[in-house]
Amino acid sequence: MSEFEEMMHRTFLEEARELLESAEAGFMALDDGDHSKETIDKLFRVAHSFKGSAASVGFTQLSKFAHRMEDVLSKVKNGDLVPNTNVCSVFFAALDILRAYVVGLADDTSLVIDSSEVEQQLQECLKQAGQVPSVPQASLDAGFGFFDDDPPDAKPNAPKQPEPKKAVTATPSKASSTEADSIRVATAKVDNLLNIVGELVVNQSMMLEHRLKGTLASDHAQSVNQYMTSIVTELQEISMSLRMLPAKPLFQKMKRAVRDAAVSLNKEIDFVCIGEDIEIDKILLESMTDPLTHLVRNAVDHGIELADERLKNKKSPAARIEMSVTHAEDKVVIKVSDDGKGLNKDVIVSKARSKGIIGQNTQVSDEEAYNLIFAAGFSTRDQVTEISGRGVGLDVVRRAVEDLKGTIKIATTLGSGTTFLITLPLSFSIIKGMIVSVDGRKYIVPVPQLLETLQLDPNKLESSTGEGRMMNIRGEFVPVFSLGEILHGTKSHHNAKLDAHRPGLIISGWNHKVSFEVDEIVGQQEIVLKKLGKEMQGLPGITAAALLSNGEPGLVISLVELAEKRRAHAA
Amino acid sequence: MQHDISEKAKFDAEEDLSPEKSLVFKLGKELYGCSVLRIKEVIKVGAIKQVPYMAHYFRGVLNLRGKVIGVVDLGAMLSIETNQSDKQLIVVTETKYGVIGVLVDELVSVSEFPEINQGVTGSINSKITPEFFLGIGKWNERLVHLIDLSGLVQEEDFRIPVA
Repeated sequence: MSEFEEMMHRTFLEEARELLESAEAGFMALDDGDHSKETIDKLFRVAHSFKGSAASVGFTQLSKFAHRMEDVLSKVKNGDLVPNTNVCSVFFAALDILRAYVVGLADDTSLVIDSSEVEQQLQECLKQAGQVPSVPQASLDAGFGFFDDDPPDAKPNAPKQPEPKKAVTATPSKASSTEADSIRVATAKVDNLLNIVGELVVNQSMMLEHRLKGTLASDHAQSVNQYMTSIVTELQEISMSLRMLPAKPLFQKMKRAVRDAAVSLNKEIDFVCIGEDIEIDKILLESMTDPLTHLVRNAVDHGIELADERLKNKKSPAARIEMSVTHAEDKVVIKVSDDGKGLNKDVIVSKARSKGIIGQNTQVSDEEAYNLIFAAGFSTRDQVTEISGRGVGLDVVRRAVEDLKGTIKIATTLGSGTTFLITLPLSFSIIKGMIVSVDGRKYIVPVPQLLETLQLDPNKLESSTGEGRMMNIRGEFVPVFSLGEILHGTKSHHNAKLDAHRPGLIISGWNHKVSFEVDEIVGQQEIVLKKLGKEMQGLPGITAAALLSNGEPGLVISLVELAEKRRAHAA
Repeated sequence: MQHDISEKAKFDAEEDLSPEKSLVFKLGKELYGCSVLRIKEVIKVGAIKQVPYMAHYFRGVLNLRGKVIGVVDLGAMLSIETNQSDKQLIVVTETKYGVIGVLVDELVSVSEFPEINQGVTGSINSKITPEFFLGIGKWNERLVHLIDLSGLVQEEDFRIPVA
């Protein structure tokens, strides 16, 4: 394949992802009962653009399939076909085929997906609408020139830039979805960035002049220097914001997941979204999609009761699931709550016992019991359902959140609902790090991982042969690990009693606290995470590197990972 | 047509580089040489920070203008006694792991080795397997062990298996 062709394909696929998102939103609206001309026209245009541009870059199979969709949509458009739930389900299935093409074609340009079943369904929709037509080509060309969403590389007979239309349907910074490793940035942000860089250049030349004149100590030079500091801070903020995108696409995918699950389980659900405009890091948009899908499906499947059961309990038959995204200080908080039946501690505990997740006689607190649903191999339903029980449990969600250095908590009331609270770091490139010293070496611990730091009191330290050292922290027994021993194999501090009050870093491992003993807490610093070379990949707990304020490199360690490794090792 | 032109350009470029230049450096008492093609730069030894769970001859990480790269002590890796002097330098080379710094004793020269004695099948150092030993060259009447530095480094797994 020539480079040109490759570029054309890439452009098409990138645009196609956006078209898909806009189609998804459109079909959701259609399914919600918005049968307005605008919505239907938009969907029709999307299908039409897909057809046209796919053909122009040589993806004929995809183009043909989009054509089928367009046929059905044209029936909806001229009022022959009512887009009821069934029809929308077909559209959603068709959309999934388009998406599979877009994802698959990136790797294999000759990909053919078996779409016969969906095509059959589309055909039935056409029959439902009356006679099977051919596309009204003439009216198409006449009606579409103006709005066309075709990418610029499309055929000359289907031209026009997508931009004017985009301004209405989506924010310009709309995510171009996962696969392409590029980012769409609002023009305003770039302008702002250029502005600030311009300021920086001017100031730098002023400083240069002062240096040449030997007037670096002058008041003016001092104030220029001060101004530069504030420019750099602003520069840092803007650069970070470049990675931030509105959470809207995430909500859209969840809407779809809830809708599909609700339809197939025959439950009526009101899905409330709060915070679609909140900007979150691109990584979060990408890596939270699957876990959140799992979570909302789980809410529909396990959380929400069937309508008659709800009526019996004097609840409205239509259940409510709410998902919100908010910023709280330097964190992103994602909340998924339902007004379903809540978690039943007794059921969970007996299930966990029968699955051997906890011992037969182990007593657990309410909180510990609820957290058991995050254990691998836990599922409160006996039969595997198609919606949320594909052999993976909520442990997948927990893992994904922990991988992102976040936490997940459950609040539940039996009979009235469950809330999952996910807290994630706001930024992934710059984080707050605590610098600790161990055996004379410095390490950086991401502050979001820490619950607290305290002095380990030798008098409150107890040693038991089986468990190692434990520390009584406000009535709770917390295992104490020596970071030096874990990282360097130093044994010196291992013997039961500590001679002095040494700092301890407390983290929350999976449903229990763990503390790490260090020599000294040196300070805190904003750090920019740097990747480590491949030769250092997979080292236990060593996740990245960063530069300390003196310019020397430091290693960023994940205490959570070290604690997990420790636990797995002990078990 | 386009293809033909670029192919030809590539061919010419290769012509220009032959015979290949080699970086000659000292390690202990012996001279070693490696092709400059995969060498990015040679830098002074800065602050190197140790990394846990890595072999002793992996000296640690270093700040290379904002990038954090690993540094390998080639002498220690090959069990060669080296001179820990301030003449030591880090040869930054490209490997399949990414960019890695290789600590050597002293930089000697950049030379061409038109005549490489390939009759010698193995290096005097048993840690340099024939795969990465290219032959013996001569520089100022001294023998130079020509090696594939990147190959040698990237063949090594520096991680100590954790139980």
